[in-house]
Amino acid sequence: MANKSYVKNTALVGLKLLLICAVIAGVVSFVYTVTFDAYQKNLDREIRASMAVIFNAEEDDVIDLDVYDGVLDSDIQAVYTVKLNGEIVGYCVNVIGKGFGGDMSLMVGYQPDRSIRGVSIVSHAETPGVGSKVGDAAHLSQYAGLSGELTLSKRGDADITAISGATISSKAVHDAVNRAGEVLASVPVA
Amino acid sequence: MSFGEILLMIFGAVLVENFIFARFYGCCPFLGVSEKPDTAFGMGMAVTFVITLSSAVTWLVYKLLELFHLEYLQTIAFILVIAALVQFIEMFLRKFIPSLYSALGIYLPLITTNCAVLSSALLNIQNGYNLIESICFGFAAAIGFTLAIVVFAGVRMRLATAKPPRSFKGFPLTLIAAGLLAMAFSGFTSLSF
Amino acid sequence: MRKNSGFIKQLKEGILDNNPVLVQLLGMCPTLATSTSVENAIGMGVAATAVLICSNIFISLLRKFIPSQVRIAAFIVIISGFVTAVELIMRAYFYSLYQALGLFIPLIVVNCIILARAEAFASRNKVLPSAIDGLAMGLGFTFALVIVATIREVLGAGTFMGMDLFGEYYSPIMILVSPPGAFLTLGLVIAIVQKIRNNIEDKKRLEKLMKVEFVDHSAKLAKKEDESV
Repeated sequence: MANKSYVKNTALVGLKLLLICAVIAGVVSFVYTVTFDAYQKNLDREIRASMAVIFNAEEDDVIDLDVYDGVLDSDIQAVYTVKLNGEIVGYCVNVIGKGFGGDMSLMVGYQPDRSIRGVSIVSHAETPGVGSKVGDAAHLSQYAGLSGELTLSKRGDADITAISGATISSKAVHDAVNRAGEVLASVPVA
Repeated sequence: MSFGEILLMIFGAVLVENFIFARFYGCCPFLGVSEKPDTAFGMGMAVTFVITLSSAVTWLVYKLLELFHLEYLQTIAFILVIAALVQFIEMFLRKFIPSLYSALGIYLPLITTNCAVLSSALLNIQNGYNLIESICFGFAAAIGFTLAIVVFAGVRMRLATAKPPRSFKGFPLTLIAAGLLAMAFSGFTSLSF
Repeated sequence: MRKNSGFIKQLKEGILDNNPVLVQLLGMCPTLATSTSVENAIGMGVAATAVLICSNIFISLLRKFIPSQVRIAAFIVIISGFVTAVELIMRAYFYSLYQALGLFIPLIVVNCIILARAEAFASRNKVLPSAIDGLAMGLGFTFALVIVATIREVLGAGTFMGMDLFGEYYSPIMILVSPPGAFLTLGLVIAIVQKIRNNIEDKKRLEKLMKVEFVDHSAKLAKKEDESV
């Protein structure tokens, strides 16, 4: 008798817990469905904004992207052929660098001759004021016009001069750009 | 990842990106529990046990969620898995390895809300690790956590006999000591691999 | 009128007298980690406040329904549900903040403040006071975060909310925005809070002491005078 009521009680407890889980799952799924489009737009806007910086696109220019996905891995997010108003202006590689605060997502843009046109940061989690300086135009503009394997140093005797106090972040960008170059070299001409 | 890279990742997770001193995961038990080195060690071992196991289980759960395109439910799923796992480990140890239970048992209920466990599970997914890498990373992060609380417990033993100004007594002194230790650990960041 | 003053009292309790971070010393991880800039601090504070209010309301509504044996599990499910909802909303409408806070948004789940309020307050009180309690504690958390973040950002990076404050001539104390600086700044802030609390306590004790002695003396003296007469 006591055993029976114990079973009944446990079943009731389980049922109640299940009900709470179901309600919460419903709430979350609802929020997910409502917010999904806005999130996708954010991602897309982010990618396009970082390309617009590299290729000096105006706001109303149309950027068309042909995605080449033969070489993707956990670091190489995407390889694009970039068309500005219908004309091929170069290539872009979206690459992940291992920064001090975690992953940073970089966009490396190339001229049609595959020299670097520019580098921009899509997103990062570096320390504000210190590591985030790698995102400054003065630092990133060092990459423009270079090609091949790049070297990095703190003293200014290499292709790229690291930001003092933000060596890890600078190295992350540098390594990521080199990786992007490597990958692009293996991509057939579009 | 090759074996060498995994070793580097473990080294990095223990020293450079130490869970407590560089990332602040698990600060509550760090500041609250670590009074004596041996209890700190017990807590650290219990956490290591749970994190390593939960790294494997949450990774599998995530693959399951991915199958149904329910990735956005990962936080809920992970915390439930961790809570259940902690409960299960407690029952298992009590029944089958009572000696270990008597050593670690009292720390187990605290672990569900230890953010080091949940954050290592989430980091495994964010960093795109595979099963082996996840387990290694979880283990390394937990060792880093243990290292931090044991070292810090030693510091606190000394602090207990110190006579700070009244307003610094207790928590502020603890935090400042932790800050100094964090500074020592930040020396590891200039190690470049 | 009475209801109104109760509301203000509850708010003051959460923000000042019983501040979850500075007085109760809860929720250290997010305070240390997300106080690198004022913007992050406000974002974290608002996100946690939203979760706190929602979970308090929901748990208070269900306080008779949730079986007490599994209440912690139920609380965790409810809290993590709301955290996920907040995370989804942030990544859709506050994308840069979502990225800056990173993993610390899902980690709101294990923020001790929220579980502590669910257990200590929401599961025992009616809906409205629970909602106000969530708001008060959330604001207290935000307040503490913003104080720490202001010190760290102004001195450590020379900016406030991303605006440059001192121009080029200021070289920032970079250690304050790095992890050790988080521990040091929070330690100093809590020391100041303890100093203030000690002063208030001392003053009260002194007043009490003086009162007691004064009353005692006069009574004794009067008695003595009576006897001598």
